[in-house]
Amino acid sequence: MGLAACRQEGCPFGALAQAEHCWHHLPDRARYARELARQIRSGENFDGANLCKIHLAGADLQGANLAQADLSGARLTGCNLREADMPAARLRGADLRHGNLFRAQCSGASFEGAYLAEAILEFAQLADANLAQADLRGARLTGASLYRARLDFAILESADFSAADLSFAVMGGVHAAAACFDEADLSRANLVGADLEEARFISANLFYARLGRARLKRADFRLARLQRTILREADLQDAILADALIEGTILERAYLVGTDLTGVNLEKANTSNAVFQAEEPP
Amino acid sequence: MILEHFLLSINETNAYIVACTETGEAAVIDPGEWNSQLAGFLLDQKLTLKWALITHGHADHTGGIEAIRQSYPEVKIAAHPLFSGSDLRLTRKTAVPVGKLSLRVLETPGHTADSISFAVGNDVFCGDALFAGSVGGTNSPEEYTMLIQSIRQQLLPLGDDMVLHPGHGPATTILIERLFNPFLMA
Repeated sequence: MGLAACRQEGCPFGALAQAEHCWHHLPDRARYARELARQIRSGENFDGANLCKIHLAGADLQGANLAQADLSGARLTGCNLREADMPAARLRGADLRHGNLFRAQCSGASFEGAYLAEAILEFAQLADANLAQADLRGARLTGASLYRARLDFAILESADFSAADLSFAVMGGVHAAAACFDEADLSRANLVGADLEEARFISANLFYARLGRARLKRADFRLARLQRTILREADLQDAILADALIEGTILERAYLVGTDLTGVNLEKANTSNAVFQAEEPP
Repeated sequence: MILEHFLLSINETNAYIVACTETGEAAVIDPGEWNSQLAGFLLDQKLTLKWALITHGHADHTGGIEAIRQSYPEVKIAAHPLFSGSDLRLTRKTAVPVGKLSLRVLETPGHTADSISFAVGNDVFCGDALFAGSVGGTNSPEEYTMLIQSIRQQLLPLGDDMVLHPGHGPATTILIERLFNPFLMA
């Protein structure tokens, strides 16, 4: 399905599923999109189909069978993909803003550089998915499984990851100011160099997580598990660590000016060369 | 290529199975222990274990070798020449064939003298040379200098997109480490 070349002379792209042309050279795009949406809705199987760059904005594709389908660059703004079956699908650069992927099965799928701002991904299966450099601003991912997912350099500002599984996730360099990770499992996650100003980690599990050089100004870690967490050179100015579980935590050269450490036993942490007081101005 | 990660019960060590999709031949990297999860994965995926590849000789990376030898007598152990008990001695000129894959050997001493890394496609298995936001432990300033030199000369030039799979902790990328690893700041 969809493996033939586009019939347009000189076109390097493949023909879309059940068509003879790529999206760009398709004679009647609106009709194709309507018929495709109808077939998907009726439960037809589009596993492995070539659907690159199609425009299906606002379509109701609930429960779609799109395993390993290629939707790279597709325009799916506001689409309903609730409970869609999309393992290993390719959605690189796709536009899924305001889309609904509640409980969608997207394990191993590629959303690299995709636009997912304000999308609903609650309880979605995204284990081993690639969301590197994706835009997830304001997206809702409560209870989602992102085990071992790649999110490096993604934009996660104000996104909600509460109770999500982010263990072993690669999140280095993310922009996640004001994101919510309450009760999330971030054990062994890579948050090196992440911008997490004003992010919330209340009761989150950060066991053995890596947050070296992370920006954590005013972040809230109340009751978080920070055992063996590496916060080397992290900026925790005015952050709240009250009642966080500290044991084997590395705070070497961390900036702890104004940090609320109520109920925290720092004797169990490595605080060598940490800064607790701002230098007096000369 | 099949690539699967396993968190071992010993010392938060990571082991990896790399396999050729076409031939089903597989290698295990750093079998710090041999357990039912690793064996079960080979069975489920119908893979044939050909190699046990060792990034360095510490027990948390090699503890499963004897069990592998007993369960898979045909499997070859491959490691740095300083590691005793290997069937194949690996240097930077060596490549390990796993089906149609070829794992390139990089010499990355510092954490130990026998430390090596394996590169295939976009993935590098770097043992305890480099971790997300950190580097492996060393016992002297000379070893530390050697380690940093190994990382700078062998790993960083591989390119920003390369994914590093360390012996402990989460995966990372060359770009993340180049930008944020405190041990690699100029």
